[in-house]
Amino acid sequence: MDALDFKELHWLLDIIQSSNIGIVVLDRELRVEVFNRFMQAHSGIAPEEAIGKSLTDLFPELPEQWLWRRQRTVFELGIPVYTTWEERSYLFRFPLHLPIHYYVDVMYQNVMFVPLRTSNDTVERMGIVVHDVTESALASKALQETRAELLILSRVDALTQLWNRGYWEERFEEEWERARRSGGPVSLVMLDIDHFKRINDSYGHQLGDAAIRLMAATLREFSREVDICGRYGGEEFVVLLPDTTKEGALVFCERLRLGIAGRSLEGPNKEVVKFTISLGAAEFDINSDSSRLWLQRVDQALYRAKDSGRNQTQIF
Amino acid sequence: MAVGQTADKIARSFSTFVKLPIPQVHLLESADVRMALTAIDETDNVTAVTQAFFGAGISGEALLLFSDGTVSELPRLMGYAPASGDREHLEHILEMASLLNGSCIQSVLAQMEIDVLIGYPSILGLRTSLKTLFAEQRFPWDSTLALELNYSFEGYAATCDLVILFHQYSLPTLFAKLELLLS
Repeated sequence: MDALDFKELHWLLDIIQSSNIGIVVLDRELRVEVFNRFMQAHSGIAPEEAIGKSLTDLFPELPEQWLWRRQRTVFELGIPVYTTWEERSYLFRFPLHLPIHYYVDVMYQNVMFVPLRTSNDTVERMGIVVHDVTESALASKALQETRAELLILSRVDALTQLWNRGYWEERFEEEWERARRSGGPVSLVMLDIDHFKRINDSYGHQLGDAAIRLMAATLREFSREVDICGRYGGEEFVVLLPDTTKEGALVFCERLRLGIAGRSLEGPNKEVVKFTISLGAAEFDINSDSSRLWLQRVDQALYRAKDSGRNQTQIF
Repeated sequence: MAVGQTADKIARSFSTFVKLPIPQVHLLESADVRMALTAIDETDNVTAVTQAFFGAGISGEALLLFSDGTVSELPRLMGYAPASGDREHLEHILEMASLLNGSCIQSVLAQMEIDVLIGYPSILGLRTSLKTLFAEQRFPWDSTLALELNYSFEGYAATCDLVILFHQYSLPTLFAKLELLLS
């Protein structure tokens, strides 16, 4: 190599050193030949310690088989392989110790494995190029989280945190469709707080809201993870019970009715305020029920419960 | 010595002299950091830029604070035409930040023979108060080494404050390097 070439090499090497990307060059056995300043700064391993060592010895946490698969693609096929933070948050675990942006604790990386050819066009080395993409990864994650939060917000009833009527109806149609195809048992329950207007009129709207919240909390406590609970209207609630016959629905309703009867609220003058509920339920009938008709039968059952003196369950 | 080098580097970029006081060095406990940072500028018109840096066993962030008046003086100070829009305005801020942060971090760490990589500058807040910026912060570390430098430019009213915060994880390396230097 003549003098001019050597000078050129110097600044070419400088860009490898001072770039804000990680550069590692490995031989066929995954032994390190080049380990740049970025890698040193983030791993704490000096180049002279790294060179000649196997990469998997230096970084025991690396997925070894995964790495060898990339080695084969690069050396045998001579084509580059990429991995982005979306599939794998990072290849090298580089903790970031930042005083102000402390919540960013690890570096997200896009990583490229590139074949490095000699002058006679054979691949004898593999380059690993590590891009720090922490900032864009976090921005994109934050955006997704905001979207997910907004979606939930549009589906949830603010007072009770149960599904709102719009979203509950969507789920109800889906479950009805599923029941129609599978033929398994599924039941629907509708319930209403008895004399709700009286609670509001005697103790104020705040206590009315508290009664609705207590109802929602009790409902959540007595229902299973798979049950779909919603606030249907003012003091009216609906619950869809998958894999439940009308006998099972009756057991659920009675537990809920007794559960709420055993609880109480505290009125504005420390008085004990109790209330009861009326419930109607019906099992889906595959031979005759449209989703509308099924809902109507449950509504009629609830009406019968109200009409026969409240604080009871009626099954259609 | 590092300060002199910094001033020289910066002055070469501008047509004016940069006046630099000796940096103040503080070892801050995390409980005091918010108060210390907030006290640097108590107005509602602060523009803050952060830039992370990494060396072997070292990491931290530079925090550069411009007051509103300084931001509007930046183009003239840098010898540019006034910013023609928000993008150019931001570009001026980030360019100035890269220059001040970069030269300072590099000079300080070069004294300790630490090679450093400096990340991209990013805006932490535009025309806001430091109180708002740091109000919700509950720093999860115990202490930081802070270097505070107050820049001013001859013939300009513009001033800015640069705080270099070393994460506590870097303290053992820093102290070891310093001991070597002083021995």
